[in-house]
Amino acid sequence: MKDLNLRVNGDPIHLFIEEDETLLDVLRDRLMLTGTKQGCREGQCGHCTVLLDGKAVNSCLTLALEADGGEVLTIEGLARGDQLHPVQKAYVDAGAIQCGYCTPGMIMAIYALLQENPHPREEEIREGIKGVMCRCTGYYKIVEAVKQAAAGGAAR
Amino acid sequence: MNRSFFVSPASVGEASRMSQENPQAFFMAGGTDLLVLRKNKLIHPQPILYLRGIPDLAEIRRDANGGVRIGACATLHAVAKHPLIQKGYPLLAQAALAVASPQIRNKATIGGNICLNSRCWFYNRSPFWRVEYSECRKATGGTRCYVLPQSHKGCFALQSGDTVGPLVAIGAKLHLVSSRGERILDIEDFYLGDGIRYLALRSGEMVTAVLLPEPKGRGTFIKFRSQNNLDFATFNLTLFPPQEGGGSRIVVSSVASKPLRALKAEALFDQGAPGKEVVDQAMKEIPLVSFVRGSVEFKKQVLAARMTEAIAAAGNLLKE
Amino acid sequence: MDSPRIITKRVNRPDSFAKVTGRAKFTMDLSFPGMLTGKILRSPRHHARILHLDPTPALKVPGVKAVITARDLPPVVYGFGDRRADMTVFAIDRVRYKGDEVAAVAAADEDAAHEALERIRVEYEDLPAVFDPEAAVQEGAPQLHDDSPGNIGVRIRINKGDMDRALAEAYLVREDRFDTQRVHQSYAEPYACVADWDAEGKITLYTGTMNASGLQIMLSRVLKVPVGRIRVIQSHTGGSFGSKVVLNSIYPASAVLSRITGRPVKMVYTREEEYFASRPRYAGRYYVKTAVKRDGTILGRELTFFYDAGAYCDMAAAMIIVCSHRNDSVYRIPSIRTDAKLVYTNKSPVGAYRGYGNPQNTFAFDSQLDMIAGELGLDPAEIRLRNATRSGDTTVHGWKITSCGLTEAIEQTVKASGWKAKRGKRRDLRRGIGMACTIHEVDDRHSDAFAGSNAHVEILPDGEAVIYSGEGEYGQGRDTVFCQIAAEVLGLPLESVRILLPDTDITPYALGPWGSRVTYSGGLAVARAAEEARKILLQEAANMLEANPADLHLREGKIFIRGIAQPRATVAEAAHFALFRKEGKRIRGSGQDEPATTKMDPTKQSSPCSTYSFACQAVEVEVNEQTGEVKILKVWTANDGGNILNPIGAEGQIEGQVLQGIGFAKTEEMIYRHGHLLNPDFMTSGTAGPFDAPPLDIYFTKTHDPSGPFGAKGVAEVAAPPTAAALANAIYDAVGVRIKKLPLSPENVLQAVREQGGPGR
Repeated sequence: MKDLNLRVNGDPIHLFIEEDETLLDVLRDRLMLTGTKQGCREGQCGHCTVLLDGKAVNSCLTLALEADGGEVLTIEGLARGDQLHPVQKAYVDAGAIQCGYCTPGMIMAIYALLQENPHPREEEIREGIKGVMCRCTGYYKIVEAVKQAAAGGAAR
Repeated sequence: MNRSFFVSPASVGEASRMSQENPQAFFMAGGTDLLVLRKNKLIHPQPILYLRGIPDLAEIRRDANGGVRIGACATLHAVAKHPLIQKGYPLLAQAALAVASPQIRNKATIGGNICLNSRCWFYNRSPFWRVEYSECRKATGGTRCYVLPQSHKGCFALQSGDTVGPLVAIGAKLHLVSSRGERILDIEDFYLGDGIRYLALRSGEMVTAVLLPEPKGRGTFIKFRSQNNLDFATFNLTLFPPQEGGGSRIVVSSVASKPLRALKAEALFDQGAPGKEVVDQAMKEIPLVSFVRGSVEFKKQVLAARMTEAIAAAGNLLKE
Repeated sequence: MDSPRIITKRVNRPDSFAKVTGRAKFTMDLSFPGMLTGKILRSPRHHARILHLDPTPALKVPGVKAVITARDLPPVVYGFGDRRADMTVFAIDRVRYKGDEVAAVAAADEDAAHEALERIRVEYEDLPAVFDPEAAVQEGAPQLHDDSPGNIGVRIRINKGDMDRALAEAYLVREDRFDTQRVHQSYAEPYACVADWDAEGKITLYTGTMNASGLQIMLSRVLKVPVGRIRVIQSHTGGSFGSKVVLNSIYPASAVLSRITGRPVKMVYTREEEYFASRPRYAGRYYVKTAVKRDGTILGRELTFFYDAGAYCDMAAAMIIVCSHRNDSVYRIPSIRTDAKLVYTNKSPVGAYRGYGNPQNTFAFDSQLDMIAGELGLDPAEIRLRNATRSGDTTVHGWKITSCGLTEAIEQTVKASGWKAKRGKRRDLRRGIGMACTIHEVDDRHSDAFAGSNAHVEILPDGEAVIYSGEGEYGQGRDTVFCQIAAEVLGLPLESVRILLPDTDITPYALGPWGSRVTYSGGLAVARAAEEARKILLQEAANMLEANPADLHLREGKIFIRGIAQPRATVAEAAHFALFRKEGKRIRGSGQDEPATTKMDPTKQSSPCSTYSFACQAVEVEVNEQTGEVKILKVWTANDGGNILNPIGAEGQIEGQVLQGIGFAKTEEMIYRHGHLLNPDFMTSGTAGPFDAPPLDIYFTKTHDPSGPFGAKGVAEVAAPPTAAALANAIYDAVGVRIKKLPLSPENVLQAVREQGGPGR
């Protein structure tokens, strides 16, 4: 067991955890932040995507201790109360949600993409969301949502 | 002895020493492959020696010889986006960008990609799945290989890191450090050609940097897959045309336990032989094995086709 | 009717905020005090007798609270509905596939549960296994079920018209074999449930099911617990595409573990378990013989069809009824002779996957139709127009076609795709275009019992309306379209209408997803319930305002008297008045749709569906004959879903279907070698991703169904079936290579190119 100190969505967190716990399990089971989803536990589906120190990662392939001293941003950290982040708003308006299971991971991947590349070309958008598996939408309205978010200056 | 599972050494020397003292220890940088291997009970790290706390291991900078030094813990994303790499070694940037997904690339490191555990359809699976293939030499030390059932020994698990082909073609060297000293190794000599003992790493030794010589001319990198998804390659082809009658490179990787160079084909290429002759010779030098997806016939045909296109394209590049 | 205000408009999903913020709770997100983790022990053998099973060592693992086997459940052998009963929750004395359920544990955490599984002692004696359906029906093949000689679980023989005469009179008869592969639905959320068997003997089951009403009944049967003591609550569901209608063993297993431990038990599938032990799309083998006239008119079709069921029939016993004859009604075919066999093999059972049977059947039939057209020198679009089912037809099986947009769909596809300029003209560029058509049922009646939908709509004192329906929401947009319908009928803003996820204690019985019926049948029930609520509301408002209800109308949540521009009251005021006056009354309307259909029976004439949806699809490709790579340049879809009530949702359904269709056609396959599944994960099974999604044109035909809610039908299953055939037909157009086996991967295409004469034909 080891101490873990990190910030999650801006909040300082201190936990005492098993050394082989993944960041995904710490977020979901210890911090009850169930917005981040579990889909495959082997880095293929991206439903567990969070930002660690500003970079989108699969939290299922991240030991929680790797985040010691770091900053984690989850889906819960994007909206401010009822105010959706522009990425979220564009996503809703584009009709990109169906079952919603991949939505948190997808939003985090899109947020990370636009932070780095505020005006991505279509191919860059597809590459940016490649790591999140969506089965409902065929990705069409998701790509549209990213374009709208980018056009609206969602990277901030 | 350390009973911790997750240890963060403060220096390369400490990491190396701990690795030597703990035969079950594993170095971890990005962990994107290691953690899956552990989940599948193929490896049992004790402890994990986490390298990303060691300063300067992720740096990318010019080195004294006009080349570039890439710290082993530089992420694939960082490598792909670095101006020195994009400008001087675009094929390496392209290869780094071809790996998996952005999420993986943000954690996976170039050191990890170079040292990537060799892979096989019959190895990289869960214990439940592997009940059927319980005699796999690599997984259980058993007596069989399910890829080449007629083989009496040996393992055909594949070297699979996408950056390896370009690094071989570029002529990269590796800086290896252990508590007993350091050495520089040509990357080609790093791969032993066996699926089980696949790296020429000594006990406690780790890769600390990849050293790139001065940039060459332009070339071609192709990661061929049947589908543009997160998967590994059916084959990687890295090709540099000759410059002033020499120095061409034809490297085929991810098809064997080590990256392969078609040396005789390179010689023909250097001599200005027609593309078809070069390709035919290269195909003779690249042994291919059928896997579940990717029969020999398929790989041969596609590799030859792609190589032919690449040589033609290189011819055009030279004319520019 | 007035101009629609809300239906047919582009609106956002009601659950958008919950889903986009990650606050929507899926089953895995639920947590209860004292909750335990459950895990299933699965057979590692393909076919074996259980000689000895001792679960007790598992109890010695710290943290393990209970372990169960077949002995802990009533000895019920069940099937899906009243179909072929051949399954038990746990294997009793025999396992029949790798993944078959043998035991289950409940423990304080996952690690303890895993260790407990390892301690359970099982001794197996291997039995010979069979993995191919044609081999399984042969004399001497290993028998999976003692009461199914020849491993035939269900056999359906159909004889309509006069097939012998059709063959005799035909100008051309073609005979071909087609093979399709298993693919997985690959929904994002794995199977999961939480079961709580409480101190009063009531079972509450939380899960992402498409079929809460049906699941309640199935659980009752299997656990021998009265239906009223079972409550099924649908959590937000991360996709299903047909799979999550079955009784997965994790449901009764976690319920019994909960009973024994007195604590809630959660069970979650790993992604690998999804491939070994859920319900993928069946692999089909088709021997098709079709007779046509000189002008391409179809005279008859003879089909021998092997449907690989896996080790148990489960839902396939019902599905084969549909799959064996649905596609006979796309085109006018006067004679049909079919021998369909649902065959046991030692693999996991199969289940429903979007348009089940349709993608496979369409691949076979529409590929062959192109081959026929080719031999006759006819354009593939022409032969389809010639034979297309039309409005007013009664098909060979007695199906009465009311609204039908198929001809419009074909003509639109020809126009939009530039078909005439492209087809047969660009082989030098290795480019080609191909098309295919399909039919899908709306509703499909499998019994003489209730086969419809019930709904209640209640208007609350705050002026908001709530919809109670037993139909599920799993991403397809039920919530949106039902709220649109109720809002339209009640004159409320869309934001004032809410809907609950099914909860069998609260929402009324509904049939669930059989054919694309949720918008249609569920929507009719909701419309009727809203209409009844509206009448009650207007009566109450009339009382409150001392007016005549016939003079009142509703708009934007307000009540108007005819001829007066200013609203007289709000819906909230009227509802409040109704509830709190003396002898107050809830404003609650009930509605039902019971389809006026007859039980589906392919061997007779029947009218099993309320109506039918149709589609045509064209795919344009560029083929690289050196590498087998097929680049899909564009896809055109023309879909008849009747009046489209939820355009954003309908587009989303088409878009998702096309990519699933491309996956089935081109990239996906569950690969079995000697019966062993080689690739149980998203990546190596080839799940289609963002780079597989081609430019897409979507068209909805201008069809209005006379019986559907506001003229709507269903669109959720018409756009996946045609893709594989259209793609195979396009490849033929591009390079003259005919491929009759899926998937059309580069390796398979290249092999076909080599076998059929090499590049440059």
